[in-house]
Amino acid sequence: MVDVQPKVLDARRILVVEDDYTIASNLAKSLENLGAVVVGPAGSVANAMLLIEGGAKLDAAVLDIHLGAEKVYPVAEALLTRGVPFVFTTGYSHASIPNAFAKQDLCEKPVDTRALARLLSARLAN
Amino acid sequence: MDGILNSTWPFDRLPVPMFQTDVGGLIRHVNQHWLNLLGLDADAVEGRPLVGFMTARARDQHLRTLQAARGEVCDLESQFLTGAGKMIDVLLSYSFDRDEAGAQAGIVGVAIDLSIRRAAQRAAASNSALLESVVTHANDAILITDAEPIGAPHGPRVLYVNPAFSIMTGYSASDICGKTPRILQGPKTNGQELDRLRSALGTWKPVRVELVNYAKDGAELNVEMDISPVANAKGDFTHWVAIQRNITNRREQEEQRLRTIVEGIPQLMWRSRDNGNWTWTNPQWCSFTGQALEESLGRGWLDAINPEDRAGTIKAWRVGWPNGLIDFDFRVRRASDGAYLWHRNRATPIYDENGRIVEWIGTSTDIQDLKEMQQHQHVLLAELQHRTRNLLAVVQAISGKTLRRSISLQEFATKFDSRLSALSRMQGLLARTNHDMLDLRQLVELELDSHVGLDPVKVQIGGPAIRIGAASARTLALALHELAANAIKYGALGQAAGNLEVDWRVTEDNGSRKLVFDWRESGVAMPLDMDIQNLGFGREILERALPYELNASTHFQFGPDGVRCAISIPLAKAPGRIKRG
Repeated sequence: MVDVQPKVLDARRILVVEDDYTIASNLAKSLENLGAVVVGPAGSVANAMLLIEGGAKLDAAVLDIHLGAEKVYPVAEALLTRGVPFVFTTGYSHASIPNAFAKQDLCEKPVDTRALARLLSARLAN
Repeated sequence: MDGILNSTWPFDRLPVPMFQTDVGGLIRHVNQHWLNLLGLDADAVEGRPLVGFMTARARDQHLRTLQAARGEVCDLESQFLTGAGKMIDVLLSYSFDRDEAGAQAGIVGVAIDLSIRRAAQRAAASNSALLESVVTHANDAILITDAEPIGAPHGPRVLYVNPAFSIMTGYSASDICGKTPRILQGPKTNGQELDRLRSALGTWKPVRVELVNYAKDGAELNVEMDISPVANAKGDFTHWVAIQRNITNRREQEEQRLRTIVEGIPQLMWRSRDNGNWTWTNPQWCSFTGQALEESLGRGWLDAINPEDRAGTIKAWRVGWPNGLIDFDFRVRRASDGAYLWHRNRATPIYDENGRIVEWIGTSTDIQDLKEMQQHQHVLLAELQHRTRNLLAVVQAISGKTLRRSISLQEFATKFDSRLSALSRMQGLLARTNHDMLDLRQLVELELDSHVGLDPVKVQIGGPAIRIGAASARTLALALHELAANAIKYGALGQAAGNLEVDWRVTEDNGSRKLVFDWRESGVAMPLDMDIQNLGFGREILERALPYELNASTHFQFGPDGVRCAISIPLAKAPGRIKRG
């Protein structure tokens, strides 16, 4: 059963950083269904940095804030430096996000894929 | 003496004791009352001399009185002796009998019994001696004054003081009698108490006051004084009696007791004016903050408060306290280690007679543990939120994945339901442990038991005790679930001849430790129609989720008589644990 959706993220290359495989792969699949090309997913800061620093072409990213014991902020910083827009996801309702990222969009888990797609395409349109 | 007693005598029936003698003093007549008074029979009296019934002293008096009376009516106090030998005080009135020729014939006497009155008098005398003795020997100082004048500058005069008063104050009776009791007062004598005293005296009411009085040598005396008016028989107030007790020792004991409490309680204590200027702190404040008493006074105490809390604290004092109660928290610096510990402040106001706040008496109680527990609770709550949302995200993902691999809604419902149950079992197991770790054996047994029961002939489980973190356990539980579900449908748990061995061990290779987990099915007739789609999700969990999340390597194969799956998971440095936050 595969639902057909408009390809709002048509051919956009989106990095997914999420430490839970099931969530990561489901999110990747959902994004692919919207036309995106998923980079990753990466389950740790190190793996994400490998992809970024390896020169992967990125249009946007979806970053889970808590990756096991570590936080995703180094990845967010690297993306900011490169001018790659991103959206945070988190299970904390009032995540204490550092000031540097206060303007970034935030999606609460479980993520509503359509809402996430709207945020991503708005960022991509700018 | 011709039977006179038996003849009628005019006074026989009179209700007063009466007697008549002849000129020689021998009894001629007595009436029944006289006999009753003396407790005698008429036979014992008849013809006997009257003086025979008197005491010796009364006899002399009797004779002298008769001589001196020269025939006129006369009275005397006398004493009769009863038949039982008891003395009776009587008042006698004599009148002289005369014969027809006018010659003296004897006397007629009336006796009035004085013994009851005398007894009362004697008792009164002895009572007053007793009272005097009590007053003289009392330990309480007693002072007696005139009743008036109360309002005059010199006040009523002192009439009497007992020895205890002299011992207490150093004033002898001659020092103070005739003077005003006000010479006992001095600078510290409480004016309010004096006013209370004066207004009570003005209305003739007894009163108890506590005063600071002064001894002759100027020493202060804390006295408790009971003052009562004394009235005479007519009800006019004639005197004041003041009984004073020295309560200096009692005061000191009370103060000592209070000091012991104030210095012994774990709270920091302070007194403050209404503007937040402190006037006193207890030794605990000083030892906790390292401030000297003088340093803590005024606004000095603010130096011991965390700078972040100062502005709020000052503002609170400026704004004032609703409900007449101080209740606020601040962090106080502990001198011993420089740590700021949360304290809760409570204070109650002391009012003057006009209802204005004179000062506050307050305590600061260490509530650091409480604050930490509250913070911990917030963290736990946020963590619970996080996990719940994460779990929902996992459920969402499993539902998405299951949906994509399902041909029909019926298939989706069945598979999604069974995967949700596996998640739920794992969650239940986690809830039953009081830490964040699960025992691997429990996890394996719970999953297998839920499908087929733990038949030791069919299923063998073995391995060392090892605990794994909650997040790892979830993926591992899902993997086990998929293996078990597959084994029921196609493998060892679904076929009579099938056998399943599950075991694990910890290996060490060049300092890196690994958990090696084996799932071995045997005795299985391998089906030809195995649903590869059904295996898809299970193999994805085993071959992709486990490597992704736990850096595990998985080897899954269809052997000739059953499925084999070997999972190798690197262990963290801490022995026996796989932990992931």
